[in-house]
Parts: sequence; C-alpha cells; structure tokens
Amino acid sequence: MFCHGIWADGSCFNKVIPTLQADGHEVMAVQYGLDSQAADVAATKRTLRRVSSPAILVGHSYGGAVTTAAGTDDRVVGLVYISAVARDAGETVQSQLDKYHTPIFGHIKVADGRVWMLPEGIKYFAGGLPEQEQKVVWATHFAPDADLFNQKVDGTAWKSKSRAEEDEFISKPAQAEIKAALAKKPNATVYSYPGPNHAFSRHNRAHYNAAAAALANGRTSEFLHQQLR
Amino acid sequence: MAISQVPISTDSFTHKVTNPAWKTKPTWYMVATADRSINPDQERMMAKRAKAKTVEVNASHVAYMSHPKETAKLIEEAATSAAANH
Repeated sequence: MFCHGIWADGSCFNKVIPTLQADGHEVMAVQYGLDSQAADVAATKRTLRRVSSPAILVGHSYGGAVTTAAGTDDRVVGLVYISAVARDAGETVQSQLDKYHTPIFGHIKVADGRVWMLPEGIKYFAGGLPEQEQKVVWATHFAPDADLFNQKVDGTAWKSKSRAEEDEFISKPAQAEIKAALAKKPNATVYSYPGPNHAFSRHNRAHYNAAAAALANGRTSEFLHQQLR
Repeated sequence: MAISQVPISTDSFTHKVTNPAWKTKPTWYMVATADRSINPDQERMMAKRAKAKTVEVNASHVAYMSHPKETAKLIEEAATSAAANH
C-alpha cells in the first residue's frame, strides 16, 4: 500500500503499480487530503482494511511520516521508505532541515491556506524526468495545507500561530489560554488580529478580510523563508 | 500558521509520532542521491537509524517515477521477506 507525499496524490505511483500487480501483488494507493497528519493517518488505516493482511506500507516523502505513524497497525509487516521522512518520536525535522538545506523550499508560494510549488521549482522536485513529464507533475501538484506542511517539516504547528480576536468559535478565555500556553514556548510567536472573525484568511468565505489575510499570509511566507532556507 | 484560521484542533498542536513503526517493523529505504527536496544525507541518516535495508539510486526526489523498476524490486523484496518472517 502506497502513501503519497505533498504535491502528489495516489496516482503518482502509476509507474510502479502495474509491475507489482503483474507479479501478483494486491496494490492500493491511499488517497488522502494533505489537510492534517491525523486525517491522513486515519485514511491510511481505513484503506488498510481494504487490502488483505499482511501488508507492506510504502511511503514517499511526507508519506513516510504517515507510514511511520500508521505502520504500527498489526496488519503491517514491513515498511518501505522512498526518499521519505522516517521521523523519530517527538522529533522536529526542522533541526535537520537546518543542517540539510534543499533548494525546493525557495520556490514555494503560500496562498489560500495551501503551499503551492512555483513552476520553476519543479526541477528541484522532479528533475531527471523528461521535461514534458516534469510539466505534468507540476500541473497536477496537490498543494498541502500549510499547517500540514509545518507539521511535516518540524511537527510544531504552534511555531507561528495567528489568531482572530473576534473569533466566534474560539472564546476570549480560550484565546487567553492559548496565548498563555504559547508564551512558554521560546520558538513561538503569536500574532493577534483585533478585528477579524474566524477563518479571516479563507478566500471567498464569509469572514474573509483582505487586509488581515494579506498581513497574515505575508508573515507566514516570511516565517517559511526564515525557517526553511 | 497565519493562513490556517480553522478551529484549532488539538491534533495540529500536538500530533507527533509517539511510536515510530520503523522501530518495530522491518524497514527498507531507497535513497535518491540527486534529491533536491530532501537532502540525500538526511535520507541516509534516517535509513541508518531505522536499520533499513538501503539501496541508492541516482534520482531526483521522485525516484519512483524515474526508477519504477528499482522501486518495484525493493517493494517486492520487502513483501517477500517480511511476509516470510511474519
């Protein structure tokens, strides 16, 4: 069973699947939404129930973080990592990325809550493939939620968290609690936006606030550049 | 993240792998030596600490696209070996 990485979906394994099927293996590629690690792990466990046991989990890139979590399932008897993130318990991959720079993260754009790959970034992602094929990989790249991206690289979603003060779903006391909790984190910066309501940066949604969204997205972008370069 | 003004899920704050599967399950790893998305040395480090049976291919990050045969071979090796020892 395959678990895909960011900027991809389950069909990215189309070149490997036919070989495995021809050799008599039952194959499925999980389709998950890249919205949260927990949801992706849950989708993987759901899909595991659709294949016979024992199973091998194959993860590419971020998919390795998913298989690292889902792989403790009794039905899984082996793990294959393809250029994948085999993270350790409680580990922040950020500290490693600080030591191991890669150029891809200089070619991303955070917009509408997702992390997009810029067209010129494709050579750092899929270089080595024929140019036409690289273009197809770019055209079909599936942007992950920016939170997931953050979890993927360092597992600390609180590092740069901003909140809308007039948030109808998160009360002022709850906000104070969050602020207090984050105040103890040396690596956390909390930005507060006095006017906007919940989900103010979601384009075309009821509470969309262009000015606040632009400010917040700019800060996120800056944060990603600082952390990932 | 600034752009994620969703109800703050406990998960997104605290989700960490507490029990990495590679510590208890047999593991294989394909290192892509020309990878410019995840550094190959980082891949080697993770493969080593997972005590993974490791192969290296001269490929970019999408090694399974440029080297589907080698990828299938590694997976089949895992399937044969792990199933036999299960």
